[in-house]
Amino acid sequence: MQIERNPYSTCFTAPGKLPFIFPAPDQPERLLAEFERLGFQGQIVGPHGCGKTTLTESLEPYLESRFPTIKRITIRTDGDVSGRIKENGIKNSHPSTLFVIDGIENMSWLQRRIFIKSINRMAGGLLLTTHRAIRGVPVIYQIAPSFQIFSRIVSLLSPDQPIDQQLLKQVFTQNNDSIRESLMSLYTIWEEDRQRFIPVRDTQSAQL
Amino acid sequence: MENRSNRSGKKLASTREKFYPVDSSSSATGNQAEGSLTDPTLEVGFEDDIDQFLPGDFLRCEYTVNLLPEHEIQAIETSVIWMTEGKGDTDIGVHHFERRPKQALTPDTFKQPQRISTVMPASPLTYDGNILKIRWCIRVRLFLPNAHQVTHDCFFSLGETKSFSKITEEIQPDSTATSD
Repeated sequence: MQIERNPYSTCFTAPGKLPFIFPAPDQPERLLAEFERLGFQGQIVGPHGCGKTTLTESLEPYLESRFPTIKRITIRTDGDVSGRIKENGIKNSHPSTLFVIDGIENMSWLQRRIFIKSINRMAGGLLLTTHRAIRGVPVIYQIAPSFQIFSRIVSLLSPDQPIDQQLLKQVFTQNNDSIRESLMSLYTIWEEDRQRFIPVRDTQSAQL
Repeated sequence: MENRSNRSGKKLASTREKFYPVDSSSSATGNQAEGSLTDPTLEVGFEDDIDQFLPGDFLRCEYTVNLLPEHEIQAIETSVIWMTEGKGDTDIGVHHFERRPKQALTPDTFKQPQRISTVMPASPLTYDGNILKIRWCIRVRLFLPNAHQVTHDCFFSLGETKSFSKITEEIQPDSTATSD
């Protein structure tokens, strides 16, 4: 028996696995132009689970032509930093390095100030993601999650398994418009449905 | 704020298909390996079409690389791996791995089916849980110029696979049984 793949598994929904979906077609070009105009300094603002990391991952291929080195750093909610920053991070960086920092709002005000100042001195670019805008770095894009975008993501993940729009709306609302949490809920719903239908399918295949 | 966009003469690459407008009708999914129509193609198949194995079984499969004259292959990697899927992070374990660099590739490599064989280990067995699944696959990866890759995964199972509902049915006592 081959295992059925749940289309909402993390391996399909993690940042970078899906394309970022813009509400309007010309927004990627405008965003990149704005980032360049501002000297490659900017922050992407949006609520939890709306696709900020996915957007930075999607931008990477276009930024690689300008920045051969892109360093990704994640600041976790407890303030811990993941990514190579202490060993050979800032000190060895130079203007061809772009720092992409996820969750900058998790740093204290003072830490953040020192951190951004040192990166500005050493690196060629700084792209931040944050739940709320921080001072000193221009906002280049504000993500507003919408049901339309969530529905489009679901159709990309499971094009052959259309889901009732009413159910999708319910899931999206229950998860406070968080795309990530809504996809997690769909994972559970898919598993529950599968368990409900497997005995039927097993019986059918046994009869053939 | 200082405008540093002119520090380097390098420009940003133009945007391509990585972004989707919300009303696009395309149906790309995260489930498929990236590739284009002009990429080499891979076919992977198990000997005698058997895709279920037990620990200690000899797994045999073949793969064929279909090339166009303009294609250049830098290396071919074949591996037999297991991976977890579910709500959490994905773990991967490598059971068998072989890399054939450009020097080891001959015209025959692309004319005849190439064989992968290995003895399957005792664990981890294929598992189909609600929160976690363990899947085994044969992965063939072609390395092309400019760090471009073409990957093909061919899934199989190790051990006797039961669905979660079947396992729970088996461990639950028969509800129709009467007691004294």
